[in-house]
Amino acid sequence: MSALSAEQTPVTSAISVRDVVVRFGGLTAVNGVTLSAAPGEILGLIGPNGAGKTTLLSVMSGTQRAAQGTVTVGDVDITHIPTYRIARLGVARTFQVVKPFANLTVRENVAVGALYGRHGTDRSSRAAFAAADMVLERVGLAPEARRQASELTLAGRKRLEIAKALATDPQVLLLDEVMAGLTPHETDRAMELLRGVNASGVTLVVVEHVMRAIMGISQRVAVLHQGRLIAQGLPQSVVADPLVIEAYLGTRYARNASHSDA
Amino acid sequence: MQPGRRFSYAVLALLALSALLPTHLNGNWVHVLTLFFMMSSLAQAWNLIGGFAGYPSFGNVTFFGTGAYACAYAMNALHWPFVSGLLLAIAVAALFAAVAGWPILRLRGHYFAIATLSIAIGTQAFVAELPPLGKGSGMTLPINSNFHFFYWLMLGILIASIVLTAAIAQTRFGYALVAIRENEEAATVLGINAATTKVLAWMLSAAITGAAGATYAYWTSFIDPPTVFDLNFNVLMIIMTLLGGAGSIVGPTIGSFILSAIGEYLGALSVSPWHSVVLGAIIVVIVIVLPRGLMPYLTGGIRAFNLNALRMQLRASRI
Amino acid sequence: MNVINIAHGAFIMLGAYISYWLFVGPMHLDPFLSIPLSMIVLFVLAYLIQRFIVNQVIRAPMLATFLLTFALSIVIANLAQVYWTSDIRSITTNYSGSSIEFGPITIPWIRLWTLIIAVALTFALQAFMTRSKIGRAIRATSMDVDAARLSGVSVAHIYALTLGIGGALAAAAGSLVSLSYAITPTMGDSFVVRAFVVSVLGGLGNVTGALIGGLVYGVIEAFGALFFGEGYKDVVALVVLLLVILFRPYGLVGRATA
Repeated sequence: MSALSAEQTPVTSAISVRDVVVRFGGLTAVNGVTLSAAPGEILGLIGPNGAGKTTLLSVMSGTQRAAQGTVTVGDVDITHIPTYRIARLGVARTFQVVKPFANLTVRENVAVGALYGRHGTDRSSRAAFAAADMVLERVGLAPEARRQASELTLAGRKRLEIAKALATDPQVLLLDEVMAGLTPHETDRAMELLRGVNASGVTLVVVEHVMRAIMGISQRVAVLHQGRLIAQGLPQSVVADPLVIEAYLGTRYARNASHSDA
Repeated sequence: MQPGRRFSYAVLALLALSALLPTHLNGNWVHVLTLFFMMSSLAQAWNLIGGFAGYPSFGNVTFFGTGAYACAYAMNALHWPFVSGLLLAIAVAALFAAVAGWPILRLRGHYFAIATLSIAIGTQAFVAELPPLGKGSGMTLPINSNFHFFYWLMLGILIASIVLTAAIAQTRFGYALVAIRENEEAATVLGINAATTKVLAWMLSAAITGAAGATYAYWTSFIDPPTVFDLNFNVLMIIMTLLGGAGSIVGPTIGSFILSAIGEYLGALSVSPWHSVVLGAIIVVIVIVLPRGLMPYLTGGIRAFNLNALRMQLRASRI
Repeated sequence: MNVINIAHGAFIMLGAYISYWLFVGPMHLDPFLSIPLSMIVLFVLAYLIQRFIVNQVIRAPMLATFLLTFALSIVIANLAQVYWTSDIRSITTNYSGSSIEFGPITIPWIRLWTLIIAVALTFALQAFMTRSKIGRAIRATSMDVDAARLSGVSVAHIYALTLGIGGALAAAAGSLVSLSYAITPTMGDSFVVRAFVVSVLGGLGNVTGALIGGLVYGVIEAFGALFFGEGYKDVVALVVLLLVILFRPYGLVGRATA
């Protein structure tokens, strides 16, 4: 299981964690994980339930403090920086259970991201709202702009979640199970959106359970199991990795898989 | 907020016009209106922290009392003119909010409410023990019987608070406040510095409240702890804001108007305890039936009254 | 149950008045003996209030129940003022002045018995909450309303029962207090604040914690009065409350949940 150590990486990563440990009382959710995403790449993060994926994302975005280890964005150490400043540095995230501003309109929801975010304080409210409108177009929510966020369907809310994050003009976008609960058609549209976002230069770290989506858009995939990184590499090789199969399905299937390869 | 904006301008215009009233009214009406302006200001101030930011303060009356005492001390012991007393009141109240706000605004829900309530009670008890502040028996201020002056001053404070609210609502700061109210964690990950934003909102709220307190002190020429730290003020602030519409621009003033009107009517009718009973009953009704206050109906007209939506919302909030 | 009941003070006041009227009335019932009666009356009243009024807003934001119970406390206190006037009343029995001596310490009879009964009620409550079916239902509901409902618990009833028990205990407190304090319609106010302080000190939801919290608070208040003077004791207590809320919100004896 090879992970390029920080010393060997020629280019500074967009975002990376090093030897991060996170504990909740007696439970160690993340147990010494070192992982980085190169600028402009799409890194998939998978693993069985409870593997620590969301916790790792939380550490990256600053909503959760690591007990040990460091987190860096570019060459800035963000381990102890308050969450809002990490957001202003260009790290945006979505939440697994979406957090819309229910009593605001869709447009206002996105505008909040544009009013703060990476360039928020540099521009006027009008410019921020204009930027929000552009994001709404991109994400396909323009028709709903004046509706209350609470009136959106689940797919709409997921897109709103992404839109809010995009409005902050991030360098790194952390996505927590954005495909969960979407129909195959909606999933395709979401994948297309994410590819477009990535094409404009944003690094993506995508936590997903929907295999089709992960395999479809990730350039590299990392696998967490019980708080540890057990595999990393190209999607196809990770999926065939016996350790990964064992983590998901148990030893019997892993043995069968390596037999059928031979 | 578009339809609301026209309504807000209408209210502001009405208030501005009422500056012409005092010369045509008898002393009692001037008194009643001055009190109405004061309560409205307190409610508008509460709205900033309670309605916009979503942190229901049960201790805002602390700033009223603090402002009152600061002004009383300035005028009584230091022999300053009223203007200086007023400015001192605003400064002290805002400073109090800043110092108390840092730790207290980290609390949520019940704990925040209890903490702010405790501050109100504790400050009252504390002030009642301080000899320079008259220890419990109160303080007097120089008498000023130009009641029109106080009418205009309170009106000015009210107009200022409404204008401030409107200004905030359209800026980045205002959006930060409502984002914090709607979902504080989401707000933080978008880059909002929640801690500073909340404290700032409370400071503004305290400043207005303190100004009202100072004016009240000079107006009545005598203050004592139970009067200026009276928790009933706080409850009224909250009810008025909820009745009119928390988070709206002029909702608190509307709510204050209605409640003051009812209070006047009842006061004219009968003895005080019934007054409170009716008030209590009104609160019960408002809390159950009007979660957004009257604002949606005032700006949307009778069309906004949707029996089904009301029924659904009732079902959602009951067990 | 996450219902902050500001009307608790009003319930205490009602309990005190019930004991008062039973004492000065033809029955001349000793306040200690009227405790079961006041408890029953307040149980019913509190049950009805919860079931038909407070239950309407349980799931609304917390501010709603806060305000609702506050409104109720205003209504109750003012109705009391209308019917019973604000005249200060008190109960003096033939044993009011007597005390018992334990060596160098002298303890008034009334205070001693108040303590004994209060402690007994606390342990009774604790036993009820942990051992009885209803007690378990209450605790289950407080942990997860929907799961409790799915298990067959009538949630509306349980909420009402809980406030009913709270009301009964308030009545007991009121009856006990009627012997030592002045009886007025607004007497409840100072008790509500103290009740909050004690509950937070002991940890919200922790029954025996409340007992410990009460003892700790009593000591703090006494020492506060000793060092800073009688008037400052409220301030001291509230400062303690704030410190506890800020640094140990689960109380002095509580444990953080998760």
